[in-house]
Amino acid sequence: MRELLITGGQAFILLLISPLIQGIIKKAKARLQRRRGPKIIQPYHDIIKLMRREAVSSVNTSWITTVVPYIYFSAFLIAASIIPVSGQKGLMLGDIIVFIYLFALARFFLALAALESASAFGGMGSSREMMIASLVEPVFAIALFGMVALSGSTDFNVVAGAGQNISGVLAFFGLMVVTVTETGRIPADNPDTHLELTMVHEGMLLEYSGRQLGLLHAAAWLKQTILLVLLVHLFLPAQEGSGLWVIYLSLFGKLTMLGLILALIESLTVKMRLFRLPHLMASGAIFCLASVLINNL
Amino acid sequence: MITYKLFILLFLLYTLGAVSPFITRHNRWMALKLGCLFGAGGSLLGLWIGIIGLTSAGEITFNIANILPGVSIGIALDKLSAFFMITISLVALVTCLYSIKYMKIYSKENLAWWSFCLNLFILAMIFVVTVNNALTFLFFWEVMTISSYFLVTYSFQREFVRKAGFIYIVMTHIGTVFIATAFFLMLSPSGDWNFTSLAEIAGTLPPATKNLIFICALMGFGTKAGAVPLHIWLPRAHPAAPTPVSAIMSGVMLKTAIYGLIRLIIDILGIGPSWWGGLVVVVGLVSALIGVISALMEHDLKRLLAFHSVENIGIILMGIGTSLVFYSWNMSVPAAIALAVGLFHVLNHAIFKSLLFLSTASVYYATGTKDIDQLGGLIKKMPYTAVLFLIGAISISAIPPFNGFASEYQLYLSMLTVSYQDVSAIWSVGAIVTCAGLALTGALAAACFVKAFGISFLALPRTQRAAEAQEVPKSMIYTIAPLAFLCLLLGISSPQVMNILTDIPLQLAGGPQIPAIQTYNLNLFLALGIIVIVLVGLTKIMGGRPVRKTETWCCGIEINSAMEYTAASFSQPIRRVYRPLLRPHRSVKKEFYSLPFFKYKIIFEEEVRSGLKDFIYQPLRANIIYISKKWQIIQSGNINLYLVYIFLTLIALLIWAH
Repeated sequence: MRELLITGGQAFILLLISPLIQGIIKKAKARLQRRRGPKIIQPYHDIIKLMRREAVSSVNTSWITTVVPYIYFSAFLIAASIIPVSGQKGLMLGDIIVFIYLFALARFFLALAALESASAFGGMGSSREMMIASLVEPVFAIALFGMVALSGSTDFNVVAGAGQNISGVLAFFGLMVVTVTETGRIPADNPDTHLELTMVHEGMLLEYSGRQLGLLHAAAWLKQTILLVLLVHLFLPAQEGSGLWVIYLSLFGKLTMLGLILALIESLTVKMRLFRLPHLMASGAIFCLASVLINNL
Repeated sequence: MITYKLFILLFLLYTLGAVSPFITRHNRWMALKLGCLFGAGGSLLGLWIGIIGLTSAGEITFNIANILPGVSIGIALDKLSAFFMITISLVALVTCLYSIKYMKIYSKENLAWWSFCLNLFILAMIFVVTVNNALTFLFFWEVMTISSYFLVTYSFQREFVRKAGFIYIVMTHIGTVFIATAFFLMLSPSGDWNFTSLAEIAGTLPPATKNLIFICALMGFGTKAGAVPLHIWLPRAHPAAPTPVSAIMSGVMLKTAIYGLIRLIIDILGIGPSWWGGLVVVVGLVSALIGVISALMEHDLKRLLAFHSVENIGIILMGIGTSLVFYSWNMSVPAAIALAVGLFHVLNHAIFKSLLFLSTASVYYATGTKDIDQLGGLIKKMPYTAVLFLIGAISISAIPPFNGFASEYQLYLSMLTVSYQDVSAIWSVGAIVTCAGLALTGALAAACFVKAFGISFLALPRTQRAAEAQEVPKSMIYTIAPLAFLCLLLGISSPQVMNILTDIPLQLAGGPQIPAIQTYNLNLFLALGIIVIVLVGLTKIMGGRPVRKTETWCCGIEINSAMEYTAASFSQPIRRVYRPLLRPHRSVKKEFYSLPFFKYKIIFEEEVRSGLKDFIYQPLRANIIYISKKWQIIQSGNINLYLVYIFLTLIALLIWAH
């Protein structure tokens, strides 16, 4: 029961704060561009509005379109509960490998749903997303497995703080590339556009509306928060023995900081051409490989 | 003793299955039914014998017949053989039952001949994995190859089928030469072919000979298993055969080579230096990557699945290679686990690949095509087949909590264990890079099956045939549904399965008891299920308006299937990114009404070129032909001259023997 409370509570808290992180990033980006920008709590309003709206879907769709938002959301909710933020033993839901593959699970189903409406936009998003995935997953794997090799276990509790050394700095850069790409941000993708030349993630969501879209947005923000939590867990974990309040407050502070970095990256760089992405991922891979090499020398 | 009787019964059933169709050949359906039902009965017995073998503590041995003085068909059923017997029988059972309905589309052909070859093929595979003697092993290996050759060339009226059959038989025979050489090198002067006496001789061999035997075994069994670069027969032969045969060939025939590799290296030859394992892992990784990326470029469902067999054989080899590395370091616990992982993937691949092949057969049955770009929208017309194919697709893409993920998860753990050891930096870094390669394989496999399932089952039908498709008969769905269920069951009960499988390496190579293995799959499955159910429940309770259905918005014009993404357009970004590997070649031809503005039509062609063909096989073929031409000098065509050759050879041999 206690385990359920710890795990479920953590997933719930991360779910609750994830729109806020998104709001902070948006606000920071707007300020950096000398705009006033939407309110920080705007994402909550968006979700509530979408949840009330009627959902419309194409006549070409089948049960896949209906179940995918649920599966997508559940996958990230579980991923959110896997990283032991509080350092206490929760439910045994997974380790680093399961974590990576939960992303694959969510992606697989969303890419299928994107193909359902028969519109070319969905197909475009789906096909590009799977291409990008094939570039991201190896980098993600090298970065995380480098940490695993260093600590000798795939358990998240053991890996906590494994990046606090010289090689960790390199791995951090590699994981940052992964985070930017996975969250669909500039330079890999542009979250603010609905232009067919650039869209990837938004292309897949194009045919969704109402509560289904709300669920998918919430899941995507949760995914962004999880990736940031992962960075915190590997590089800046809370001190052992701190109280729960301290842990969650400091976590929130660190997430805000990383969110600001993301906003800064987004304001300083330009969107890359899709086929320049392999170069970006290759640089990420080289950082991670260098960190692995340093560990082993 | 009971095993002996069951085995004889099994032999009789398959023989009846092979022969009886000829007696009733005037009644085609009767012939087909008899062949398939006897085959299914034999497979059921095979499952039973396999379970007996896997649960009994020791080896079960008995003699079936003496064929030559000193050579008898002896059966030695240890846990390894029993495991492969279960895998073969399971896939054969489902396929035989499925074929009763499916093979009706071949109604104009000689179904008795098909039943004969099929039963002989399955029987030969069962003998291959159970005999205890290298000579009978090679004999049944040949029977297996030849009977499958006739199954591949079943539709011999078509030219590509004949060509595929030719390449298949040439390649597998080159492989057999290597396997035979490996056995010859271990043969004692007394000429005893028993595996146990071969093992005794192998123990006394110098390291160089052992290395040679290892390379021969890897080449020989690698050819049959479809390891890159020896896989070229596989994507040709599997699509040429009737689909149930492809299911058996891809699902289990390739695995007999894996059996041979394990038997020859771990059981007979003994463990060698650690580079053996490293080489096997590298071959596995290259096979996995080349296999999956070639699969992505395919539009034909069966060719696509055939290339995925290359990928999965690669994953299995990675498990076996990791285990060889651990054995060479004398770490028998992780070695046993890694070998069990390889075997686990053998079982998993057999199940999901036959599921995928048989549901592709259902698609072919309903629409008459296997071309992804001719399909579309089948999920509405064939809902059950769609679910079965989807489960297969999820499993093969290593999506948790299904069985493909279960074995790949264990493989990651095994390879990461290599990186924990302080042997040398090369192994640690190599293990992590291999893990990244496996992650890449998984991501590409997922992309491939989003394409395969998404383009052929979702959205709008692209052709009349797809639009008019109807769900296949119930019996075809019922026979393959258990495979889909097994995909999930093996996924969530992977600790139990792994605990059973780790007994196999213990029996082969000894070592301490393996600690119980734990995974997250069951918890993960429950958590996913509970969350989805709660969410759906919440949506129901909160009410809200039902989802409204309307046309897809397409900028004001009516949407049609020509606007959908096709298989080629789906894989275009990947084709472009992995250009150095795939070497895509495109040609655009334009025809004009009047230059330069008014185009009449544009012809666009794009193909990927296999680097293997251009860089390895073409030069090799050219060289062989060149050498043969030179050699032709001694071939005068005069019979007297040939008699002289024979005479001279005889004299030379006599002098040598003296």
